[in-house]
Amino acid sequence: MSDATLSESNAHVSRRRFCAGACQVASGATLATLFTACGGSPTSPSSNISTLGIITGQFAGSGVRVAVAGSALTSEGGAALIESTAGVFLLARTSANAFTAVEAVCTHEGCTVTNTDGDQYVCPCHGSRYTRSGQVVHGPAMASLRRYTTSFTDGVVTIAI
Amino acid sequence: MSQLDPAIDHLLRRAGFGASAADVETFRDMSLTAAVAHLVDYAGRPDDVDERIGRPDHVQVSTNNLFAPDIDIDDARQRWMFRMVHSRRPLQEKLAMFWHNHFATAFSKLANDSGTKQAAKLLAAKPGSLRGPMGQIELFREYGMGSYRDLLFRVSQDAATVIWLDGQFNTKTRPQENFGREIMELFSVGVGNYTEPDVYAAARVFSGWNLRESEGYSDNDMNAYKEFVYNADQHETSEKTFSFPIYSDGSKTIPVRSESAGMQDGIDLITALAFHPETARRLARKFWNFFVSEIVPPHPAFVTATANVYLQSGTRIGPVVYSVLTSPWFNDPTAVYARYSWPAEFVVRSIKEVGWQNFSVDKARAPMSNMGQALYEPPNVGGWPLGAGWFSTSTMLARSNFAATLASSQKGFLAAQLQSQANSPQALMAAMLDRITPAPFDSMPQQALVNYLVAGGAWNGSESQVSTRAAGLARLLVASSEYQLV
Repeated sequence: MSDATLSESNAHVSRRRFCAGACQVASGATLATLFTACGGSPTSPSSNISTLGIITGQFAGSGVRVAVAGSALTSEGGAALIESTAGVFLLARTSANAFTAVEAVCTHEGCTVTNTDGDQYVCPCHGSRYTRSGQVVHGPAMASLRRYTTSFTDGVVTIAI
Repeated sequence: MSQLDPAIDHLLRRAGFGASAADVETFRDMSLTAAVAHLVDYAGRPDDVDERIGRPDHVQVSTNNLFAPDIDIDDARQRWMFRMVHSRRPLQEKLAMFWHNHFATAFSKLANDSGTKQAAKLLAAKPGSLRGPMGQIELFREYGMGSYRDLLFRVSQDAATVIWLDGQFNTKTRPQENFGREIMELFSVGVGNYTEPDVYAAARVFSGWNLRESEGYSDNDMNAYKEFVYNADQHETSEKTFSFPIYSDGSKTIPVRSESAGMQDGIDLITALAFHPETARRLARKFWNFFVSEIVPPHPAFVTATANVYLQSGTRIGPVVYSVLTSPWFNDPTAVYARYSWPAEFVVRSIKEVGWQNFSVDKARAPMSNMGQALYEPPNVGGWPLGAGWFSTSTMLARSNFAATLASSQKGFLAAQLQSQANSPQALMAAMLDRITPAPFDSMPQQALVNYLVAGGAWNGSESQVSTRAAGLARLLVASSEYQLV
């Protein structure tokens, strides 16, 4: 199967890029933990992965409305998987009034990205990692997740689609 | 006239299957804007319709054995028709039908390949009902309003599609062109926007997109299954050049990749095709024909506007459908009753409007075949011939016969419903047209229908007179030319 498919050079670069970025900021972690985290399989470089909470968004024609109350999105750094009639999105709160919304379908093999680790999204199928704005930080995915603009009013985020 | 705002009636005929008495209650007090919002935002409402199969106040299903819609195609057809009649998400079922025609996949070829049980399962199995992937129709229900790129990707890896378009035989030494051709001709850009060398390149792109069987597979084991597999050692690794851009930098060439990384070739091509401007325009035209009109050709401004919504939303279908349903073209008077109903639309709408007491959707299965549309059995890869092509002497006779079957089965029910409103033939006629909503009649046919009500004696509104005449009138209305339009 193709989960072992990424070319060695790509995997190597991606893993190093991930370690250069993510491992340095993991303050408080011991060196041993770091080596464990970054020396594992190319598709699972970290161990603090958790599943995102799911919120059903309201599809309102040209946008998806998401009420943040009672979800991880009430606090900065929080993120959630948004399900709606018009498909799935990843929504994160990056500051008091700012959110990022991206496509939740992994650009590698089309799995729904359901997991998070720190400030990254993690695909459950082959471990691709993306920033909150959808940039790839770790393969096998090569293309970014499509980003959508958001607005925030009265506790409701609207993802413009 | 129906009891609903005519614009909402029009909306429900197109974005659903017409309005039953229960639907009238749901939509009676809604504005048109609210009705559209209700239809398109169905994810917030439970998908509980299958749990209501077998309830006495619903249309019935019939089977000789245990009802097994995940492995028996006739039962699967009944389940889908039940859903069309009773789903609280009518647009979901309507779009499933759109995609079923767009990605037309026929049971008979799958059954020749894998036997009838597996073929039914490949097309209709609910997720989680049996071991193995969900059936193709469930992809349409689940992803039909999401990103088209995502849907196209999932359909390309759907086992029913792979069998239907011979993907299991696509190997590096013998690239099989069928899927590579159809993904461009039928699923995306359309004829005139790709070349024969593109077809050959696409075949090589999808080499190794094959099938595998579950361990100990047998056609007759309902928990056995076939599923998509990427066979890396059957992938042809050389570069593939197309006549249109594959990448956002304009590059038309998929690079050489190792066998193990080669599945990316197909993902890149699917993405390029989904985002191709001609795909956007082709889908816009198909949505025009499906939602707006088959009689008036697609308006160029509509095609441009709809294609733009599609591309700007990242190929999401939800915003496209919303844009279509709220467009001035959809609500233009020339679009009302400007589509020839598909047999499924005709049958389901008539059941919703006439009634379904003690009526089984199984009684519609054979008639629908005679009308030219057996669900899960499109005639070929291009889907059903649409428009006026639905109507011939024999298919119109099949519609007329079904009208008779349905109306006579509802004789007692209609009489009970309409007795109090049957003081005069005109009053009965008006009450019936509250339920059954053909396109407006000219005055002459309408008078002929009133004459029918009083034929054979003066109107006295007796129970026996209403009972006979109401069912007869329902039959005439449903069989009328005006009723074949939606």
